[in-house]
Amino acid sequence: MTATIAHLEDASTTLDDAKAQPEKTELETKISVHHLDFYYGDKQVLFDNTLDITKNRVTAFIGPSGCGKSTHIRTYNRMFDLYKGHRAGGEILMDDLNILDPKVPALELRHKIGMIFQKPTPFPMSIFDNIAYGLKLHGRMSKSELEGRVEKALQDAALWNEVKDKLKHHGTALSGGQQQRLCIARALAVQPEVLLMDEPCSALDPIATTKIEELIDELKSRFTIVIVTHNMQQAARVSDFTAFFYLGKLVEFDDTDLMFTSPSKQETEDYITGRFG
Amino acid sequence: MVDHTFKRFDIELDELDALIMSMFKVVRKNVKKGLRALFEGNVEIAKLVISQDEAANALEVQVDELARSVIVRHQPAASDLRQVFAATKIVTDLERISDLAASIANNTIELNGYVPSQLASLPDMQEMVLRQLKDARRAYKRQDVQLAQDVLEHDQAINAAFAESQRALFTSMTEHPSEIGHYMALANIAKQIERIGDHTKNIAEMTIYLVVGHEVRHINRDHLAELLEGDDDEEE
Repeated sequence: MTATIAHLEDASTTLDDAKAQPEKTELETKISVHHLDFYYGDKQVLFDNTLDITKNRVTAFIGPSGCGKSTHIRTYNRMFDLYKGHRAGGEILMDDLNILDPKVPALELRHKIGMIFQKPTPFPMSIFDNIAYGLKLHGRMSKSELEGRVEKALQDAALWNEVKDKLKHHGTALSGGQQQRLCIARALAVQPEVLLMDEPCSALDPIATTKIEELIDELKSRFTIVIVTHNMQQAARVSDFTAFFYLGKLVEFDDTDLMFTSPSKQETEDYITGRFG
Repeated sequence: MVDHTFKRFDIELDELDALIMSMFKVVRKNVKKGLRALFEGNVEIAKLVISQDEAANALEVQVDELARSVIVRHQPAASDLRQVFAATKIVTDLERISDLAASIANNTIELNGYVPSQLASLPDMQEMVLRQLKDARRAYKRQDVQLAQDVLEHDQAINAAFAESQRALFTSMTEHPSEIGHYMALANIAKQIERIGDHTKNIAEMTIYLVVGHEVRHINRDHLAELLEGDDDEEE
């Protein structure tokens, strides 16, 4: 009898613990954005964006065209450095390093923060070289090490089984979905900490899209992922947190489940229910 | 609220609402007739209630089919998702209420037109539950959180009346052992009315969820008030 009561007590403790679990999980911030403004010349396009990107989670940016979501994501690896007159204000901290500080070398930064674009952009070279190219820029390594790193990157991008027998084939000969996974493999090869994805599936068919989404789900245990998407169902499926942008402002940022069931701002509600414009 | 850009979505959500409103009407009528049959000892009306349960069943299936179609075609989110989700939950409760009206009618048929002299608090329970159903329908239609909260509050009165009815009926059973079968039937009916109250309460809870987006089932009244007050503050 005593044993039964003890067992019940144990069970109730376990149940309470289980309930409290989600709150107990400490979420770590990977990128902390404070009062980010952005200008294309004289035109201000981002206004006072402040949010935290959580480590090893997927954060989705949604909003209508021109709302600033792509501009925002591109500040994380200082892509704007490449264009004259583009400038950012505010602060973006990654592990306490201010990304916007010009003293932080952009190339090093882009190794830590990889980027995948809307349209797959394989280099006009073999599948193997597409991956090896970035690795070689990183420094010398032996042939066997290089081969190992290429294989690992292709495996991480769930492409290895499809291309292992044709590594010398041209990267551009792959299907659209495979090309996009090749670009993901290329980004993963240099062992980044953050992956930025700017509408990575918008040029892909539904099957290729599902493969990328599955990949995102697998990769988030090792990388912090930020994805810009026009597909709200995609944001709801793959992300843990969602940010809604409108006219350069961050309107709402919350847990994805909450954003898609009970958003707190009317603009978010109107956008995600299709009552916009 | 502003219309959806895709008009068909609005049409289908309106259709869903219209079906639920029809179901409220059919179900309340069944409950009202079922109790009238009991108090008048009218077996014919009782039989009618049993046959009309089919209408509620058909409406439940129709709502579920439309909800499935809306989900698959439009992938509703936010308030639209809550509306579709609440619709499927509410029709389940309404269908159960109609079943309970049919059970009351079955008990009336068993009584075979006999109306016991001791009806305990059943007439009061009838009045309360019919009012609850009306208020739950209005709360849903007007998305009136306060009225839905009133429904939750009033369910306690039905529960109290039920407990009182059981005490009175058991006393009658001991005083009139020859009528024990009749009083057992009444005790069952009292339980069925009390269950109708519970399902009505579920509907009110779903209405609150639909409007404010907070889950309010299985939480105590103080917490509920706190939650809804917090919402008012946010709106200000």
